[in-house]
Amino acid sequence: MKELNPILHSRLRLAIMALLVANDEVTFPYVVEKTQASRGNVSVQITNLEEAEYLEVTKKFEDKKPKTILKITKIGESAMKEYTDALKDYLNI
Amino acid sequence: MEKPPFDQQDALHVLDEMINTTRYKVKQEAKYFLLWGWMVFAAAGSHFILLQLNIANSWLVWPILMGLAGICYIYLIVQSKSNRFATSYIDRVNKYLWGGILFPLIIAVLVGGSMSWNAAYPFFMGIYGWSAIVSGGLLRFKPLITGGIISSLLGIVTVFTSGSYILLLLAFSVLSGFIYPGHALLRMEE
Repeated sequence: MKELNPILHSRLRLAIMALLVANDEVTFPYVVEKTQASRGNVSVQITNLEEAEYLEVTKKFEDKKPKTILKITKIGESAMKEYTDALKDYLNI
Repeated sequence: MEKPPFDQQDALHVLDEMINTTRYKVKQEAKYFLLWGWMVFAAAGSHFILLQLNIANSWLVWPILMGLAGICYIYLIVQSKSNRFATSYIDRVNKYLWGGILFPLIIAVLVGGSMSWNAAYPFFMGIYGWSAIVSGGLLRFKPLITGGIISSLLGIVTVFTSGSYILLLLAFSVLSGFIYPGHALLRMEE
């Protein structure tokens, strides 16, 4: 049986990655709102996922306001595919 | 108190919850259907009435109302872009579908202006009927699919119709293809 990827096997990191799989791109406040986690915690987990090259962070200005945009990478997509396959094995679904 | 460990069932629950939370909000599409639907309905209806009253240059209602609709549309697009926090696959498909429709519409306008407006109207109905069917299928929204089919069928009827009554068919086509689905979209989420 495949081992579950420890980077993804965490409530908040998995939630962030699931949001990125379901959307082409999301903003930082959107992730905070949907996961209902603190901004600090979300920020730390985003950094961890970025270091693993599972997502990319782009910062830009829109209407003179800073906007942080997150996108899943190809590595992140493969990791999520492997994770969900392993999860299906564990749960026999 | 120590948190319980995160197990496989929890992981499945998180995935399910996050994917459900990003479900496409179809209500956001309603304003575009209603804007274009009511504007084309008003233009076709008023053009028909002005023709019956033998008023010169009655066609001017089209550039006036379509220009106004275009300005409102750009405003709504800019406003929704600044309020958008996530972009989904459906957003992207809708953007290219409704953005891409501009070119066949321009061609239909050119055909109307250089050859015959009666020849161009069926293309208008067919083009936005087809777009409504595709968009309705994408959003899994039956009134839009039905409206698109009615609109396209009216386009076929228009080919065999002549005179100002074509404008009434055009008005009915946007009523079924844009206005009714637009109001149904609003009602659905209320």
